[in-house]
Amino acid sequence: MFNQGMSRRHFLSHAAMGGAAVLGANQFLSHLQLNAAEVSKNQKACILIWLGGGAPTIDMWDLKPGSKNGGEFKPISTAGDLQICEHLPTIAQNMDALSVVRSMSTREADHMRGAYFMHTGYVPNPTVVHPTFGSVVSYEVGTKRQNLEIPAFVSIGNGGMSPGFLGMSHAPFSVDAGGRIQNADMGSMDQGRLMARLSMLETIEDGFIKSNRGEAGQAHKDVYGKAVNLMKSEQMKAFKLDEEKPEVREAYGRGGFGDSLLMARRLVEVGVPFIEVNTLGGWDLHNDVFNTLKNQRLPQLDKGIGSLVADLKQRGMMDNVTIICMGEFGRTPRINQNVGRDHWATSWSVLVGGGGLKGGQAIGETDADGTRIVSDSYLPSDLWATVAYAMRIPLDTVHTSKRGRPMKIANGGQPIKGLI
Amino acid sequence: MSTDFRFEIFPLLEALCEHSLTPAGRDRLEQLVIESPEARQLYVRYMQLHGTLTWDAALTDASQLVAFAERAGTQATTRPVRLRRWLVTSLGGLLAGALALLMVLWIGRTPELPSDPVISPNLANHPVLSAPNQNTDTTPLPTVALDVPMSSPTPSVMHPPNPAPAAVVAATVPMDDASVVSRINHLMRAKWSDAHVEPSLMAEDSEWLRRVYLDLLGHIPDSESVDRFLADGRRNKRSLLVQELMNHPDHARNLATIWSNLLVGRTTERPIDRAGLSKFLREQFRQNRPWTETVARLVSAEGDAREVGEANFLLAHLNNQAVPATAVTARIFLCRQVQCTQCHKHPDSSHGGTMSEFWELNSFFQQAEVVENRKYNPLTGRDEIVSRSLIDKPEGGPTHYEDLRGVMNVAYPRFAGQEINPDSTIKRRQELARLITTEGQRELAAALVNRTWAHFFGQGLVNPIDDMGPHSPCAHPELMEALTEAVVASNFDLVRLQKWIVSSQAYHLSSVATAQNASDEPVDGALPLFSRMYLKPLSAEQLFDSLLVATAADRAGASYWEQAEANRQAWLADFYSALENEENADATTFGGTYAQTLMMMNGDLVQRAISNAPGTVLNEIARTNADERTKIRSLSRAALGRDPRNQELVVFQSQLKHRREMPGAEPLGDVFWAYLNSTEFTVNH
Repeated sequence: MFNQGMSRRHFLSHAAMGGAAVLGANQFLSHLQLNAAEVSKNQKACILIWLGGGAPTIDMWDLKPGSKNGGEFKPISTAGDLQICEHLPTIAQNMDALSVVRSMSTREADHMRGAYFMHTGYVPNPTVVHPTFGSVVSYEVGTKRQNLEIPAFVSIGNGGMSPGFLGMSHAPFSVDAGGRIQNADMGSMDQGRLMARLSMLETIEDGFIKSNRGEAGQAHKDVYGKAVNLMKSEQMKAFKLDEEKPEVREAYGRGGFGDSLLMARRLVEVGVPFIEVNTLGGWDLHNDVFNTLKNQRLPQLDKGIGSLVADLKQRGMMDNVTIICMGEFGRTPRINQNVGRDHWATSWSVLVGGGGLKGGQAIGETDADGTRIVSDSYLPSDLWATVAYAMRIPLDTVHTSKRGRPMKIANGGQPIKGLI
Repeated sequence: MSTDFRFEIFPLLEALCEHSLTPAGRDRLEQLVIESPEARQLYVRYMQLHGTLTWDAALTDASQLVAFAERAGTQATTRPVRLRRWLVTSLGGLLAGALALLMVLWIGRTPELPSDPVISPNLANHPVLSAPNQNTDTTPLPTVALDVPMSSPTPSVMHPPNPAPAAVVAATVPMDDASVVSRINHLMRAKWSDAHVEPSLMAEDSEWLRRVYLDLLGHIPDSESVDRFLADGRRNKRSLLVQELMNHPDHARNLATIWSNLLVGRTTERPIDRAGLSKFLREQFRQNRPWTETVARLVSAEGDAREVGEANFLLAHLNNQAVPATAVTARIFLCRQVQCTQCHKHPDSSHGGTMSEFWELNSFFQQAEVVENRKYNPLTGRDEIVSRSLIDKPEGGPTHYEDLRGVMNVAYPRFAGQEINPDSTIKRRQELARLITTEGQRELAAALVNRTWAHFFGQGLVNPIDDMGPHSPCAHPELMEALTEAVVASNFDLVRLQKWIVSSQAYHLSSVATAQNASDEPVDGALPLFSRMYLKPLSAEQLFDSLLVATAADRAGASYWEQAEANRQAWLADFYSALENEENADATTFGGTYAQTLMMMNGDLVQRAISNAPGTVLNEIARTNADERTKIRSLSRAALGRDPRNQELVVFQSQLKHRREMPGAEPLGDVFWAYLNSTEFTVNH
């Protein structure tokens, strides 16, 4: 249960003693904190901002003024070399650090299938469950961060994607936007008692694992090991937003989405390499798309992302943190009878930036009506290969499914040229 | 088709479609396709599926497919075009030949297609239905090494027989439980022998007991039941127990829970009376009403949600022009994914998969409307919604929908090839209920079989469970066929279907893998062979209810449905939330995740369970005069339904020795904590 990483070995030594001394543990922890503060600034991370439901990117990042599909919004100039929607002014000011890939063609226009494809780079296939990219980062990067005591993949607001064949110990650690983590507090229980419990649990687990009933036992044991680590960790303070100054919190925007992005920044600072933010949903705009965007979704999105980028720049973290903002697909260029837009995966846009990638660019191009791509097109595997490149994960990394089937990282995609 | 073969060819096909096939891979694929007819067929189907989906996902509807493909040569920038070019240049003539073959197969519908389940219309030839002794009850029961099958003289003896008239065909074909079970066993053994695997050993009594409780009642057995069963020396004790459990009130409750989750999800965020739906289902299952009746009532319900429980199903799904209602009805009752056809044609259109068919099904819901019943609230001075009703407006005519190019189309209500009168006087949902349970009867039965089979084995005969059709391989087509026939012939008797499955040899196998069946590993994507019991993680409800049974941490409820349901819902709310899209799905943090782990380690319920408060199981055990080993054994039986292993006794006793010297809570509580937190507690094996 505790065979991975230094802190767990340390922990095991207590377990073996049947819960005698706890001295040393605190010293050990404070040592870790110091270390973490030094190195985390230069550690690579990715923040995925998920627009659940599929955002109308034609109204956000790739406007079509003058077309019948153009909708109600006007484009505005930005700090980068491209125009975006007038209702995203804060982001526009920070577009020097962000780019838009305007030629995504991803063919899956069903919510579940699209979410799977965009998160994993693979189309759904009944013979294997592919890992969501956050789990890939946990597996590739998180396991190498000896000082990281909390899970390497944190999902704020229930991103329900699976770690697939990489195993439950790379599953997202889910928290809500308030940063409340239920049941992570051991209360007043002393260390000795916890050690006693864990050593008894380990005995039961080992018996079950040896009984030849598949991998569930080992997976369960791994997750428990990580759960114990996080319960004891000082790094959990990253979830406590009340340590931030009120003006910072105001800048991000109070409430779910702003709080989530602020928490994401704090998690990056303690060394978490992948954070998914899934607290600004409701993009499935089959009806009344323009009013909903203008009055509800875009102001929140603008304030949150704009402030995050400004904050990362100011802290000198922008070159280490890659940001991706997307949903499962875009929405139809054509405006439907209910003044909405339906599902559309053929030609849409994703916001990408940071991590040393080029900012201020529009990559790829759609035609005047937004209905087809007139440049190279990109798949989610290309996006994730770009993220892997930015995070220094070698692109020739190959994972092996449970059945021994080799799987290239990011499904063999290539980093997007205009971004690197 | 052998598993290894599928495993070799599928990755190659996938790589081909994903542009990532290596030259070596291409050569291997070519060799396979040239050498094996089986591979040829698979190749053609896969390419056809891929081609349809890819091309069609582009700009046009399926009827434009050919035109688009022809145009494609001049537009070399989009993915489908690149794929096509690549295919043409690399596989050239082979593809052309394969497509020609495809046309022949498709047009000719030659019956030797091996993966098409052959459906024989001649019921008399069916082995199940022509079995001997079908009218007598003296049939020797099939032997499953143990005396496993039902020993009760008449089927469904404790349940009222299905009162509704059976389908015309079924009524003429009597059938007894023993021959169905024997048929399952026969087909299973043939499969194992073909696949060169040996089934695992029979499960020990303790393993099987926990399993059957979880599957039939939704929770583990309490320690008294464990003690009683393990001490029982009767040869037929397993079949006696099955009979007993099927008459337990928790049996109907468990089924109601499962189907409520399927029908309206787990979140309580939707404005429906979830408890009312659950109550309706519980009654239907308690009386073992035919499944056709239950489905018909759910589909055609009208009335106030507070009074008509079944109305809550559609009340949850009539948003967004009843698109969710259309998709959920097909997915839950028929295990069919129709929502994809909103954008592209199903690869096998004989299975019903065009955009127009989606809207033809949708058209049955056109009259359905949600009415909010308001009442003046003197406290707030406002009219407030007190309930919602589902009604049918007297409205006729077609349903209008736009295709992807923005062209307005019309669809008339039509299902299973039957068009109904679109007049405003015809109640469309009643017509749909009639058609699903008559014309669509076989599909309904097959879907019920697949869901029920998956419930007991953790894997369906077809997987994913709710995506059945010619494109989804079936693990055992003959078995699917036999059980589908039997369900129709039994007039959709769900309890008997459960009984057949629970009585079959496969259900009594241990979950311990052997060298002779290690290859049977469906989590890796192979077709399941059911040569041992697969592990099933406990659902959130099973975990909650089992914690209560094991610990008596919360005495509230067991006798009061409403209170017990409310407690459980409150607990579940921590793990489930509605996905924010227009298709009414749920998101969960349950299932082996940190949230579940932390809840088991530190949550209130477990804390109460080990608090040694009076009335809890721990307290009852701790305050007896028994020795420590006996107490540990009692805790082990309460949590896991088995006796402690030797190693457990050694370690626990040594830990307890330490703990006795320390102040604090009851040391046995920590032993109990360890058992409750084990993998073994959180899976059904």
